Amino acid sequence: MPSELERLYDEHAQALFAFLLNFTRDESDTRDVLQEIFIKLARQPDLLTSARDERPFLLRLAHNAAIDLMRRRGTRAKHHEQFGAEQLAAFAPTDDPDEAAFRTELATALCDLPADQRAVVHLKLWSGLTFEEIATTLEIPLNTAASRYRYGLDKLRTRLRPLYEEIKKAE
Amino acid sequence: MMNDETSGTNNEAFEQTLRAQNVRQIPDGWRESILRAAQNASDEDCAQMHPTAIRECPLSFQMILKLWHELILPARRYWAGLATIWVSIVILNVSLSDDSHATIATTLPPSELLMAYQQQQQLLAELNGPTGQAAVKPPKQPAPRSRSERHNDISTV
Repeated sequence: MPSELERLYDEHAQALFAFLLNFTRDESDTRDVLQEIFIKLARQPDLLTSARDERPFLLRLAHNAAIDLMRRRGTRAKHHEQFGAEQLAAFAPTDDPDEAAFRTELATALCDLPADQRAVVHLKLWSGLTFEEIATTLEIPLNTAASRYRYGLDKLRTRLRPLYEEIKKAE
Repeated sequence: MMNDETSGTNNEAFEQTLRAQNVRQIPDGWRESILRAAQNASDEDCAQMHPTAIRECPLSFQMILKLWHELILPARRYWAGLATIWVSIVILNVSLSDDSHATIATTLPPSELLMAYQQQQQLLAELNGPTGQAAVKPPKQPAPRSRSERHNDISTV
């Protein structure tokens, strides 16, 4: 019978990994933060007792830990944001060349978004959270969550329009 | 309105296309290392709460600790109440014994001491004499003589 920690990892680690990878744009930082979260859960087993829903609570932990890490990294993080994102594979590989090109461009476009818009876009599109849950997770007002998502999506649409139209034509 | 509906449909379609892009899977090797690190951190916290120094203590100290954990701690309120009662009794006892000492100090001396005191009083009375003069006068010094009297003495020698 898996332990409580193993259960939490099996249920939530993938979602946390995807969010952290998109947010930090760095695989080693993602691993550090993920480990930090599970160490915290191991040390404080009652941490989730008061949480109404585990996933948003853990995503909030991840978001706060990632921000702390990025603040500690300081200038190096800014340089990585600018020059290191092109190598990061945030999406799963695919055999379809058009889809592969779209995913690569999407990863780059996400990197160009401000971190706060990128976080909201990811939580809405790939974590399946509602705007209310996003607002709670990121500790921002509901209107702010909605506006950040709208601005971020508009930028992505503008950036990805040519490739998107090609994909639609091919379908 | 048609444009809004078309735009809305396009937005939804665009969102759907983005949502369909599968995010990367977490590497398989991370599970074991992350869970092991978490478990180690938890074990370290437990070790700090129960240091090995206690386990290496002499047997007598371990027995005392065992008695403390098994006998005192489970009924610590009763033990505290008993201790309070005993402390009160001790304080009361000490305060009462101080009072008895003070009482003893004010009682009359023994009969032997009283007789010795009376003898001293009699002796003092005898020394003072019938006039009741308390002080003994020093011997009277002769008054200095005049020169003529001293000359007569010298001439007769």
